[in-house]
Amino acid sequence: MATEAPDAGAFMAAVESLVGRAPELSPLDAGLLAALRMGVAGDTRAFAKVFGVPHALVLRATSELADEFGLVAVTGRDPRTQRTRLELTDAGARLLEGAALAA
Amino acid sequence: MANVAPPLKKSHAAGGWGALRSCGKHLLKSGSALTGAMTLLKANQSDGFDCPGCAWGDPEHGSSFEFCENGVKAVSWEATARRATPAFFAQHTVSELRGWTDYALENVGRLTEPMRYDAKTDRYLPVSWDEAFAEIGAELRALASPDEAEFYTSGRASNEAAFLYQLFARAYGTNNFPDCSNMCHEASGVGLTQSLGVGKGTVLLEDFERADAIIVIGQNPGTNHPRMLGDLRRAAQRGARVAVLNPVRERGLERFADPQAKIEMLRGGSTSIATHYFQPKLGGDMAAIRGVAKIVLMRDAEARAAGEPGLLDDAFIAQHTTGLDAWRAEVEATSWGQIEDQSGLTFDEIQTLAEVYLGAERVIATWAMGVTQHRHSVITVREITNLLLLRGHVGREGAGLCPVRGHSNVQGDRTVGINENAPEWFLAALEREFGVAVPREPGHNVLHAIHAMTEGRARAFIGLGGNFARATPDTELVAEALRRCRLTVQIATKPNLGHMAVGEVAFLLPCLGRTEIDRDAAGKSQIVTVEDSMSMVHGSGGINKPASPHLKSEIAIIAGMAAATVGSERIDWAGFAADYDRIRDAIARVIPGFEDYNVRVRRPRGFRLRNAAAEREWNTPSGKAEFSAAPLPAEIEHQQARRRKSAYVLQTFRSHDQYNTTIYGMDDRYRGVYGERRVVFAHPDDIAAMGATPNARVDVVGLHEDGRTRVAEDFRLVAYDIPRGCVAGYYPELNAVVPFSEAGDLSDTPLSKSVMVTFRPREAA
Repeated sequence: MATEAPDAGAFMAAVESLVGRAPELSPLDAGLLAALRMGVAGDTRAFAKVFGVPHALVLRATSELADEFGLVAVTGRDPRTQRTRLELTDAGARLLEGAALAA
Repeated sequence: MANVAPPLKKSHAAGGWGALRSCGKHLLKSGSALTGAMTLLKANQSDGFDCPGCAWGDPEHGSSFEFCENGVKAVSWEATARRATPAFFAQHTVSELRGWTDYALENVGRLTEPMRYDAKTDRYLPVSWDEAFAEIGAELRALASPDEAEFYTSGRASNEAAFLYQLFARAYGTNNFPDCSNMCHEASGVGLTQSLGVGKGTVLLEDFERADAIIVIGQNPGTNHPRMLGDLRRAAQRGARVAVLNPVRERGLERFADPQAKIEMLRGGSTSIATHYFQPKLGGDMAAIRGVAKIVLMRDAEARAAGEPGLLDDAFIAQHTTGLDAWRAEVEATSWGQIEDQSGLTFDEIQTLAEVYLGAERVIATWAMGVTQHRHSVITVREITNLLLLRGHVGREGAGLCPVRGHSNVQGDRTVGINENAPEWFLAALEREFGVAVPREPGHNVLHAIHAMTEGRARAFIGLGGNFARATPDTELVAEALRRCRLTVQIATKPNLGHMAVGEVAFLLPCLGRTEIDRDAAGKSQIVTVEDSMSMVHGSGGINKPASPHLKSEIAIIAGMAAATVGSERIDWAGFAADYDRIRDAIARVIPGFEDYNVRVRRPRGFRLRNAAAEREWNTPSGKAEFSAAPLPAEIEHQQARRRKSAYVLQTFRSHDQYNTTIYGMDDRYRGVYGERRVVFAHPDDIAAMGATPNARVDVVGLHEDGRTRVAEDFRLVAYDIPRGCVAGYYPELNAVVPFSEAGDLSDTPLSKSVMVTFRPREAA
């Protein structure tokens, strides 16, 4: 979790760093990873609210990150809202460390 | 994965407000920078997501920010972790499953493998896709005529699937296209085409932001298209009048707490939706509108007689319409006694509605099944259109006609050729594009298909989604008709009761849902496209991993059946299935309005198909918008019921936990019903007149002249705010008393909102 409050500039830098390191990731994929790492949002619905991204698109990014890339693990899903809770996998954590994101 | 709801408190703190408060606010404090982050995150998100929940328009590109209540139910329904595997079917015979409820059967979960019915064991057994396609092809080729096959389409099918499906059927040699539109908005299509030359609504979502008055007729958006409530709510908040005509007092139309209005939600508040709520009797809408027109015309005449400006749009009427004088004569000849008796509204109520209409510069009229599932639905749609034409409320900003479709692509399916009587230009264009001869003889709609199967003239049924046996009238009769077929093929995501009405040879083929990621041969995700009620065409890509590795898309299944039936010499079915862009390119060459389809559908919000009437171009025989001069029916069902002992008019409708024939749950919270579905809503005085008390249990007995006995057993009477003589209950349970022998004039739509019934106490059953 973040030890100090993130700001938008740091967040954007993190996203750009991740996309640069792993070009197969979309900015949204990278944003979701960075948000997990920086403690901005731990689930899809919170992420959607903070960034004004349609929740459906965040769920799609989650599917890609979990099923295709193995960078996040789904730890729970609320069937009433589809809010999906996530955590970084070891592979995800390694990617973020490699991208030298502030933790 | 744990598919369980977290503790509420934890969820509340972890998401939403918690996130915004504890972490997100640090981002939010730098507003412009956050805007940059948001823009960055949305980059390269060309594939939107079209919610399968309803056909209401989207303000954003292909998806709302948040799922609405029904949308998330639809998504969750597909995303379930439950599976209907071959092991499940091995444990249960089809005969046994026929005794399950709709809810229980669909709740088994997602189909995982193609299945073939085995008559010896009375079970579905797994089969390979190749074997299934080959046998289906052989069976279809063996029919004496292609017209012995029925190709049913659910409104879930995408434009691409529907186009390929109709191409398959027509290349095979038939125009038999029963589709779910036949059971819902057919009357709207027929009526609007006669009046305006186009069978679709004329408004855009933006028009709801500008209308001064919105007349909502025979629909219940709170349950059937909740996102519409947001638009009605915003209209009400800025002072527009929202006049509702609905026999049933629907809470969702009275007040609405928008889940996205957080402060309002937290305070437990809500916003009034309906500024005026009228409760006509079932089928009384045409008479009510006739009454409004009578007042408008009278006031106009009075104004002119007094030397004041008239109230009609004279310039519009002169330039763009024909037939007003004949309609005016009909209106003047219609007595107030007839109007009041048939509508069930008083003169004062109708006058109030007329004042809403006359007080607005821009009027929208919307409607749904409450208008279209009556015998006189087509002329009712035309009467509504007449009223709007009087003051030029068609073809200008903030005004127009808006039939609100149910299934997410029912409108698009018709646009791309699911039409048993397609126009010649379309058929000729197909022949030019594909080099195949296609039939011209009109085919079967739903009622024709049921007749043909019942009489043995149709021997094969292919169902592209849906639940034909349960969605149609006379449930048992239709199930028997399916069982008489040589071949039944059901393409579905979950098992349903319709799948248990098996032909001699029967297949159950599992397909991807709209919410699932659909990859092409190279592993790249593909989009499909749909058309909403405002004629906007959106792209939609899946968001979840498929429920099983053995699933195929509807498009791939159609292509597989088509190749096995008609061969691939003229049409590259496999190529279409491999790349949906190729299907869209073909559509663009066949159907005007889809030019640059693949480019335009990937733009924000997609694109709008041109609606000539919205531009005041009238593709009618006269070249003008045509007033209908139909008289009111001499008598409609609620009037007939008065002359019969203990007779009532029944409408079937959805519960809040329901989407068409799919039952998500057993509650109907807006109407205060929990944990049950076998209920009938009736006026307290009618319950007393039956000699019953609220909560008494009764059988519902059909009263029809065709000699067929129809009984739906064991329903609880619920006292409700509904006009006397009118009752209501849920389909599909009550479809057992809806007669397929009766249908709407000119539309063949089932009369699901005007079913003559009586009640039999259970103890006397």
